[in-house]
Amino acid sequence: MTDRLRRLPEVVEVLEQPSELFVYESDGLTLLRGRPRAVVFPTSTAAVASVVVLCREAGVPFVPRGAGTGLSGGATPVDGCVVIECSRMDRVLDIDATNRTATVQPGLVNAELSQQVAPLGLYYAPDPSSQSACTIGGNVAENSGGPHTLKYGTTSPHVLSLEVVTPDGAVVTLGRRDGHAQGYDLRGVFVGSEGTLGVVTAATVRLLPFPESIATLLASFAELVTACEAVSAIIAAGIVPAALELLDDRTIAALEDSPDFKSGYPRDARAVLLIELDGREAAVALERAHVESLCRERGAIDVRVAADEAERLALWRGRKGAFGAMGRLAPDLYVHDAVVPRTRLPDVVARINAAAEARGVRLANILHAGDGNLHPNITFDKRDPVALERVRALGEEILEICVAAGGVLSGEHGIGVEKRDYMTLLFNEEDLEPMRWVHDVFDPRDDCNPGKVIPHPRACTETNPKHRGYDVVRF
Amino acid sequence: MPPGNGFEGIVGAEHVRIPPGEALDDVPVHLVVRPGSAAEVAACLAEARARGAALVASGGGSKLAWGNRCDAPGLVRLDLGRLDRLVELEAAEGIATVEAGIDVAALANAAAAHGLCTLLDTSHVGGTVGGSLATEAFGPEFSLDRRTRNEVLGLEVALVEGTVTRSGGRVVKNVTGFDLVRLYCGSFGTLGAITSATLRLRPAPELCWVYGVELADFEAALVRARELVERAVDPQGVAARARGERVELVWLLEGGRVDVAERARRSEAERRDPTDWESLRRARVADPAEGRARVRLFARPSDALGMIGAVERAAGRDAVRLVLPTAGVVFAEPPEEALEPLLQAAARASYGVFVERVSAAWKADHDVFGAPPDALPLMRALKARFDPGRVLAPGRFVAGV
Repeated sequence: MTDRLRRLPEVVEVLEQPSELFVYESDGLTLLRGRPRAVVFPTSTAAVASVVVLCREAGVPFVPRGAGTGLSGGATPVDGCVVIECSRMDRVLDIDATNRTATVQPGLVNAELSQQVAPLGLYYAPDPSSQSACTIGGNVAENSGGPHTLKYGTTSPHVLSLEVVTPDGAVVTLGRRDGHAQGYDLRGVFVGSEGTLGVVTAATVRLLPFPESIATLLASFAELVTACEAVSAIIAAGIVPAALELLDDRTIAALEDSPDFKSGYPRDARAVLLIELDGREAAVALERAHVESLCRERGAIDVRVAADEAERLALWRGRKGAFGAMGRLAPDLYVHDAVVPRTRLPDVVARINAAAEARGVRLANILHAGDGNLHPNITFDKRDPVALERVRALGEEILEICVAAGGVLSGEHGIGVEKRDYMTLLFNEEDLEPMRWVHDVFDPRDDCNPGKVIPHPRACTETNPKHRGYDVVRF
Repeated sequence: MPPGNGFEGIVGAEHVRIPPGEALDDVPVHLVVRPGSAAEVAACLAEARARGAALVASGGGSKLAWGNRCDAPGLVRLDLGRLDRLVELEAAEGIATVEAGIDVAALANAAAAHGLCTLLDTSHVGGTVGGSLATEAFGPEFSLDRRTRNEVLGLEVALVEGTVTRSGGRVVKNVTGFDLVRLYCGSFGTLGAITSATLRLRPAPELCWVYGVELADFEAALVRARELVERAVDPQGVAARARGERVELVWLLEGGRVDVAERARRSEAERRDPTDWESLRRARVADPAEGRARVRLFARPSDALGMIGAVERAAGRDAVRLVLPTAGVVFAEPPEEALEPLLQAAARASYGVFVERVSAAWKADHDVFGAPPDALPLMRALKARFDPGRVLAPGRFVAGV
């Protein structure tokens, strides 16, 4: 198999040694691992198609992979698969400044796209926290979001069209590069399908002009509930901030204890809100004053406003360094992701904290509070099987709490393997069937990234002819 | 199809009628069935499947003529008018859940009472939420930032298997499972019947100001529209149309007081009466003149002049009705005999087309969606998987899907 892969044109490298494969055994969700038989590095659409055809002929499953920064196991290999690593397909194919679009290969790093179009006064809006490493192809697969999703949306509305290799090896365009609809919105279904419907080989995406003015504020609160009330007050005032982030006291403590990520966040606050406003200068100035006033009315202890770009970056340094700071607390970090109606945040966070305490698990919260997206961060040592089981059980309880509050399982990390078997918390079998039909249309043999997103029908696991053991999650 | 059939058992005899002389294009409508719940809609779909009947869901009927001629000897029209409830409006969350048959204007009024608004199209008078979502209808405010599908958080959809299914959710950010919401939006009711939707509501703008200029021709209007983009005027809609020998360009500014005032200053134009924008909305949906069709051409914004040229060459200058320069959309009303050369020219230039209004005779041997998309085999396979018996509006969609 690997010899045949090596002979394919425009496949520049094939890894097969155990030491080489080790880093490809998981994505950012390191709790789950699988051992691929090979990792291939195609450099063109035709090369991806030929790898897919070869795998199909050999009956070998394949798993597309970008930078491997995903946090839900969307790119976790299944044992014996071929990983199609897209990092060598990293070129910007076309920039259309007039229509504000760019066509890029899937392995292009998210932040590099913005850097390349910056001289034109443009940028690519979706900004996952991993944007300096994650790729556009991975963002498409996961429908990734980020702090600025509140105003600008997740990846999907920014993707105009896709070139994909379907699991039968065909190259197909989904959507139109002008963004208009023609037929079923297969582009919209493919975005967020987590690599289960095919491999993205090119994407035409929208670019936005730089905002003329940006204001960034850090408001600190004595209680988490008052910080959440300030969030609701800002939204109720008709203000749509570019970002509205909440960090709780445990996250602040982790940050300020870290020599690398210490950012001067107030240690005495139970929560801080990092608020960013963008737009035209006069409007931003007005909104900044309004937001400051709303925060103070809701009991803010202090409101800091960045006076210049350096201060703005300093305020963001804490938010962006928060995940890194938690690395000091324990060997392993599990970043959870769920969404609840925004007004339920105080109650839900309190219940999650209580659940963690009851299980003796250390947890800190970072929230994209404006859109109700929670990231409870659990620090632990996975070498301790008792701790691992507590983390698993807490993760499950967090999802139950969020769904009971009217929420959903994921706001931006996706389902992957991590939450696949919890899909039934939200959807019944009848809801899941149309998803299976879509999957069957693209990948009737279940060759492409098998075992992700959609659980097998509960009653059919034993008898499903496609059942090859991918339904087993070794968490 | 005789009365006294299974539909009466589902919805009650008083909600089934034989509509004398009704036809969709020239396909006779044998029965009109008015279900009163999502479960009844699903049961009606299953009943139609069992009987081998073709069924078309309808709302207010404002866009019922859109799409290809159905490939069936007769139709059951599933009138969703009884599903017209505003189920829930949560102002603090900025969401509303509504049944499919509610008038978009009723939703807009309910939202306005809470200082909110919907971005769904209200140009089509009498149009329902279900119809808007199924056809992805839009008015002159259309842009890639303001698409119907982006306003939908969750859907309840009845399928021909007789099930009522949910996709999406009730929160503004959600990547849980495949995004079937986007699949159903714009699918012309060929995969399932939307029975309710959870929609995003937005803060109502403090100000809605209209600006406009008269210019020599469409080319000058497009240049001016481009300047609006470069000066970051960011209108909520820009539209150009012929006015005698000249062309008027009109744009809408909505938002906060200070922001709109700044964008108005950058507009460097005279403020118009708000009715000027309403007049454009009416122009977008008015019936075409006798013997004329209405066709929508779409491409990149920079292709707008090319699309206008294609219309003028095929059907003359007066066929260009309305141009949305920054959205890359041209509405034209050519004589029917000019449609074929126009569609051929559009296909050569890779412009998209959708013939919104045309005679049944023309539809009999043409596709109103123009050249088929690259992914047509996948679309056909999807239709076959969701609706193997071709119950739901068979043939109405792209390339007879």
